[in-house]
Amino acid sequence: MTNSPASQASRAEVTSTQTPVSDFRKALRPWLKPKIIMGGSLVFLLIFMGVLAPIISPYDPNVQNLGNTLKAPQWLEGAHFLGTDHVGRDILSRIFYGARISLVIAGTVVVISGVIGVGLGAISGYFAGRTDFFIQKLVEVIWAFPPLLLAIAVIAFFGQGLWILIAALVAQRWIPYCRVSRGQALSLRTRDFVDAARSLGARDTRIIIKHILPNLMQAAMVIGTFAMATAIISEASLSFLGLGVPPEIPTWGSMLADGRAYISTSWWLALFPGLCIFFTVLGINLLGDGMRDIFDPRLKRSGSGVG
Amino acid sequence: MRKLLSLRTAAAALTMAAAVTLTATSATAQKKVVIGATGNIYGWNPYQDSAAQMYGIWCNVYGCLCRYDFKKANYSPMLAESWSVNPKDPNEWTFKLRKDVKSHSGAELTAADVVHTINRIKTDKQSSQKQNVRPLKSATAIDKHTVQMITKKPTAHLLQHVCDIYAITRKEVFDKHGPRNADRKYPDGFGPYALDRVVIGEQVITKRAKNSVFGNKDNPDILIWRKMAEVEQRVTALLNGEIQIAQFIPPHLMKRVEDGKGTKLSFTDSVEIMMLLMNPAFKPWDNKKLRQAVAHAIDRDTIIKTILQGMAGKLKGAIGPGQIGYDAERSKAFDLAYDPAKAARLVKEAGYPNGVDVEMSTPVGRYVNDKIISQAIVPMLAKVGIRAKLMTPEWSTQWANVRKGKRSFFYQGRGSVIDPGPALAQYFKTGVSPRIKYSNPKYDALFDEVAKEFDPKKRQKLINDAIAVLVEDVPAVFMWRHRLAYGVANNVSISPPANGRIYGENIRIK
Repeated sequence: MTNSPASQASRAEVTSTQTPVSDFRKALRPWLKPKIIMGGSLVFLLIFMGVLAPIISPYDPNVQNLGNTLKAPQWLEGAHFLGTDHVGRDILSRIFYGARISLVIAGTVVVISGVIGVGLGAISGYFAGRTDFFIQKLVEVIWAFPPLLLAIAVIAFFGQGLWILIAALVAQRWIPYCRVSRGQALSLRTRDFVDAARSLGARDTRIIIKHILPNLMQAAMVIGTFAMATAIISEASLSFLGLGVPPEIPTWGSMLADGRAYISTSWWLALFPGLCIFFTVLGINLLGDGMRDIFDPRLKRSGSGVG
Repeated sequence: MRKLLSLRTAAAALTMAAAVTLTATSATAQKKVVIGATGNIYGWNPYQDSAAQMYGIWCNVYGCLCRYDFKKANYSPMLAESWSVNPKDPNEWTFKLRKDVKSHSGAELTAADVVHTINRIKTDKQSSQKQNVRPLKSATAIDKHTVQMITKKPTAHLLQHVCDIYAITRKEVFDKHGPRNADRKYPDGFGPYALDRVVIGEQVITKRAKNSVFGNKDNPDILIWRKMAEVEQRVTALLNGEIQIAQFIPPHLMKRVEDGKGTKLSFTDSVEIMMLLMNPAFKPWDNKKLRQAVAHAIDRDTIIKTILQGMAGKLKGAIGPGQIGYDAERSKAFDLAYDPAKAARLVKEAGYPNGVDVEMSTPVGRYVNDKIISQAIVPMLAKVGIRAKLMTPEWSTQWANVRKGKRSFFYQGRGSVIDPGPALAQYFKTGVSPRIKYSNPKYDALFDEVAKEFDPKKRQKLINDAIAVLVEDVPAVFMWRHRLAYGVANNVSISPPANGRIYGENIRIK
């Protein structure tokens, strides 16, 4: 083996070109697990369908044709790939637009719940004492309600509508964020970097925003993925009960509810929205599970968390 | 040889035992019919609920004074053998009771039982049927088998409140056992079926009363109403032989029943009138032209043909054939034809050149294809400039709001319309109920006359004059009456009732 300056230089060159690639691969490796790839693909498909619904939908999802009702899926051989429903609407178009609503509702619910839950959790844990007591009592009271029943009560009281539905779903979904955040904040408030910030004269608000909240984000992201899945299921359940968004907005839950009456004669009405809910929730759960494996230090150390 | 003999003896004994068992089985085999019913089962108190199904069940068990015969288009006797109105005093009604009717325990039917029943409907804390005795000022037993009812004011449609409604319970049983136990532990009716068991929310089991004067040997020995709210459940149970009668098969499932090996369909025209109601207490429904526009915007024929697959009869005016007061000739003029161009013009004339936004509500699953029908109506209205936002609250919320007059524009049915008097007064006469705050003195005056008029011909004319006012003012679009399909096992025959009440005497088993 030669050890000339030239060979040393070339080795250094190789090392310098190889190192960044290795870091990137190293960083990427945990994300290349089957469940993350599968879950991510399904979520990407949901986002793709939802965002591009107006472009990729062959028909207006609300246009009815009473002369063309309950047509079976025609696949590539006819005008309606997945068939038509009981008032002659194109099911494929409604599936695409349904993805949009599922995405909007689930995304909004997760964001609002996250902001409320993480915020209150951080305050509760950081201040501890009386503040913590009152916030946790509130958490316990709201947590005592069965989630679907609470949502039904909110909708029954305020009426139907997209924002009311979101509010009904948020009503209890902020609690898991709050509980986890509070636990972490209780631990973080005694850490050296918080003491250091405090001794430098930083106010509580600044400490919470600059030092506590950033450390709560990873856990919040994991909770968010699972919350997204449950929000989609809850929206579908409420729409199934006729308590979701108004009927002119296509959702998978309401499509499933409409299709229930035709399950033995026109199976395609219920099957396709049912499959969409199934695969979306599966995708989000796989992704959430994968993210938890990556972010959970205990799983990292033990070497588990492989897909 | 002895072995052979003992084998023969054993075989003979087995054959005899089998024969005895078979004979015993056939002797005790009972003809059972289970009805897959849509309504809820509330409890033992026959006055607790005011739904057609429960009225029917209690009429089977306790017996009613009279019932409506749709074939004759008139009331027919049951526990009462006749009734009359005093020509000099139209408030005085006399009911003569049958003398041969005995309760399941053998007690005689008396006028005191009828008076007790009326008082109980009026005063029972659980009673939901008080509206049925409201027209009465008093009820008196004239003799053992004669009851006199005095109305507060002349009420020509009184039988609509009495027949198929008043389930006659025994005074003696109630006095002896009190309200807690009389119905529950000692139900002793005069109807053709004795109450065997009630499982709240699930089923009512009745058995043919051996001493009943009603019905015959072809009727089922055991008659059960089993709650099956889901139509798929009813159809599957019928096809599996679990039930013999399935109520209300929607159009899209009829073929399944028709194709079933041991099942068939049986039809009847409902007396429930379906309406799209517009409450003038809410804007913009105080605008008559807009209401008229709605009537011309809806293509009822297409909805009947497609969504209802022909299983409904379009209403021209408020009532149809078989209902008291129906006049085929005059009804032709009551048809508000589908004319979207006229509807669009009316919307503009109503002061909405750019269209108008409204909120429409519909129950879900309460009536045949209710939500689907409402969904189909929305684009029809949009086409003429009425942009309706459809709301689908669950039934109890919707019904509570309708009853309080808090719904502005909604799809709704009114059942048990045999005599249209009470129904049309309930919805459209000033101050009768808050459901629709429609008010027209001309209509009110006509309906006062309808209530007083006992002559059928004159009454028919008055009813149609009143309907003509409604057709002009359009507080409601009268949509249709559903044609109801019952799924029935092949060995069972039944003429399905138009008012939702199933009577055991009308069921026959081959």
